[in-house]
Amino acid sequence: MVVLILKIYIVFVAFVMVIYFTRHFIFSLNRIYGEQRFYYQDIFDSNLPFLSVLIPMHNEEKVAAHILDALADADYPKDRFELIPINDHSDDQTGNILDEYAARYPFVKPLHRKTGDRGKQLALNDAIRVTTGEILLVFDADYLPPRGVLRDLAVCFNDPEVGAAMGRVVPVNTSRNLLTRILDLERSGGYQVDQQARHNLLLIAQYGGTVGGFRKTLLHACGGFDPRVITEDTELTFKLYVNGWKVAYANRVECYEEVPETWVTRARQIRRWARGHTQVMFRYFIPVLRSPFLTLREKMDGVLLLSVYTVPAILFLGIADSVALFFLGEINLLTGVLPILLTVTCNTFGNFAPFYQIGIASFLDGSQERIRLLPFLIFNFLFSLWYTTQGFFDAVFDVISARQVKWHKTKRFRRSTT
Amino acid sequence: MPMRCFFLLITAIFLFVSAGDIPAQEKGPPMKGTMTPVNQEGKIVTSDGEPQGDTARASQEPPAKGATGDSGRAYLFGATWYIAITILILMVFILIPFLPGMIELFRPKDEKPLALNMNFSKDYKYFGRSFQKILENGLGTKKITEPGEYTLFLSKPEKVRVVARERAEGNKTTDEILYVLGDFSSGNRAEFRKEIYVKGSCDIGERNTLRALYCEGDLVIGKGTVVIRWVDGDRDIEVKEGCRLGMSVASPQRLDVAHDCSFSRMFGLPITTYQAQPPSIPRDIQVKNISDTTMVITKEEIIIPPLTTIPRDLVTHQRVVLREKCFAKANIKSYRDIIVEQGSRIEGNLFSEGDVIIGAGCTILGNVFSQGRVEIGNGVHVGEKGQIKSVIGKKGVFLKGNVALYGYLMTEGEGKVL
Repeated sequence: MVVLILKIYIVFVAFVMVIYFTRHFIFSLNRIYGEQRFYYQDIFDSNLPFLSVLIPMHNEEKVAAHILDALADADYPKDRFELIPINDHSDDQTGNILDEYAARYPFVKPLHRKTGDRGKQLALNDAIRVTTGEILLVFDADYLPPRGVLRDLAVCFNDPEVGAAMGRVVPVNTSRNLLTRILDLERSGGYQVDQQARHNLLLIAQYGGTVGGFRKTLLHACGGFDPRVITEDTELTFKLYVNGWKVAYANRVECYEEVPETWVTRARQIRRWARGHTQVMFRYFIPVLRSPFLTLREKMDGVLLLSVYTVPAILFLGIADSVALFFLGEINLLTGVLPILLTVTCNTFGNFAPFYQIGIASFLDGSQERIRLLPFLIFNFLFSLWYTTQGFFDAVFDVISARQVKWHKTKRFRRSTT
Repeated sequence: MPMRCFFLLITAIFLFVSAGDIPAQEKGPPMKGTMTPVNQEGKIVTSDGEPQGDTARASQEPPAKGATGDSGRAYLFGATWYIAITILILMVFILIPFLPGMIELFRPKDEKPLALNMNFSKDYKYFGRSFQKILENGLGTKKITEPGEYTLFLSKPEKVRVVARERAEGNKTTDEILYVLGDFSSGNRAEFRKEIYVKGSCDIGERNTLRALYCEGDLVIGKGTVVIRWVDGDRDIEVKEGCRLGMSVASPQRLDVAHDCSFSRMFGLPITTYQAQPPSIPRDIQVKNISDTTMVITKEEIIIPPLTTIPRDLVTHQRVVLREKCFAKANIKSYRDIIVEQGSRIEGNLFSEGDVIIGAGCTILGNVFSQGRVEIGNGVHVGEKGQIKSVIGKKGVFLKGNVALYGYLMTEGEGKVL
């Protein structure tokens, strides 16, 4: 009986992997050969909405001035936006830096949080109460937005169905080491191919919590950000979709970010993402399937997107399962032909498909030499496999134990103004 | 570190596997169950069934007591070499795909972040202003008051001829950049292979070929002229019939385009066709209210009866038809076509995944954005004085008759004044 269950699980793993690699290939092929939908940035419109730009900050003295300078230089009319950097319990010079900018620019209105719990969701909830704009844009503190980003993000809210907008994230510190170079490739694949293909195919484009924005009234209607969910961006994405709204993805609205430079920081980051994403999966799996506003393809993509951080855990257990079957002597040619075939398929193409996607992304970005680093992604794959699996089980234990989840900020590595 | 772990893992697995792969005959006598042929007496036979000779038998007998150490050492020696060579080959095979990446990692050629233009700001006169800047930086044009010949260093040295005023002869080709301090005109069938900058007014003859033209004064482009790249002006631009307008034509004032002209992007305040005066906006439409006062999201086709007021945003996955003289106070979005029949008035934006067809005499005060084609009928008015709006049709924009648009018009497909 146990052996039978183990064998069924192997087939299940292979099935899941086949679905995901098919999805990767569809996205990649769409970006090369498919029709590319326009985003809205070609629209010239003199009626620009009033924007509230929020920047959550906790001990961001290394980077605070950079993003404030960049946004103060934005080409958006200065009387049409306010900049609200949120000093969230910082114990370094962040608060002073914000006050200096507030004295210099009337549209900079810092919010100092010194009481209550710390965390991005809580900081945003507090800041939203003092905003005056209907459209709220959010940037992480380590981001370096170009001049035109605010305008390009704001214009999509002319579309009555758009509840949130998301731009493209480009790592700025690529040259530091192997990890940053791998993450650069991974980001390319994630945005240049994955997000854009989902935009093209009218699937679920994801709001990423930064270089993006949303409508304030919608967030209020949804009850604000839930502090128990550590990936508030993913939750907002699915809140919007199940209620009939869309996320507009803007591939050409690009913004620099800082990626982790050490494997330890990266491990924490990806484990947190996996944990939060899985929390959202538990909450929205059924609502996505039952939403009357989503099309069948949106539902299918929604389920796959929600489950994306579950796949490494499934695969990890699948590998353990295959080892167990091997030592039990149950992987033999006759009874094991199908699992072996499917496992080989998944190992060959399941791993290959994302690499292919990243190769396509680098090609579309016009990068030539960095594609040579593609084989090194195997390290990131194995690394992510381990830590996302941990994140998945964190989320499972969160549900079982009803424990409180704490927000952990990603460490900054900025050395000087970029 | 991960690389080291990976290699160690591969080596360990391979050692384990290769130890099990050593041919059975080298290890000693055949074991029960192996495929060595024997006859009924249990003697080893050839493949034809004949008993093997003494030599063969001897080789199958256990080695003499003193010989065991020698053959064991020989076996170990051979096995070690076998394993070592196999590992070496394996390592080479594993390393091959990593080699180009290692070269890129240790001698990087493409390690910088993807280039973002941090100062990019959307500008309808992007081409003209860029050219102005190049001339100013290269020639110091603000100081040029006298005719003469100059050299401008672009990708290669370019000759610039500065003239007080110029009347270019017809049927001639000009191969140098022209910088005209006064007015400029050309005869018929003249060809200009380089850019022209005119500080005065400009009158281009019929069937000219222009690479690019910037004109600070009024500009008239003669019949059948072909623009290869762009035309920018600071004042009114009049385009006669049958012109091909290249990538962009822009003016902050009136841009009048005659019939049978093709275009990709145009900007004007307003853009008019047929030299028509902008039609007046009908403001007093007698309409009936529809009962629904909430945002409508539906998957059904919607046909709005004539003289209906639509008070809120309307979003549908099917076609929307607004019969004659409807009045939409907000935005309309459809995943199929939007058809606005004659005399209707839309105060919001139109967004469509299909085509947008706007009937004669309609007024659209918002933007028109389509992933398909946009057809604009006779007497249609988009935007209004003092406001900038856009008409974007990914696959085509067709202006039928007397049309006035305040702002921007753009297509990736066919743009045509019919």
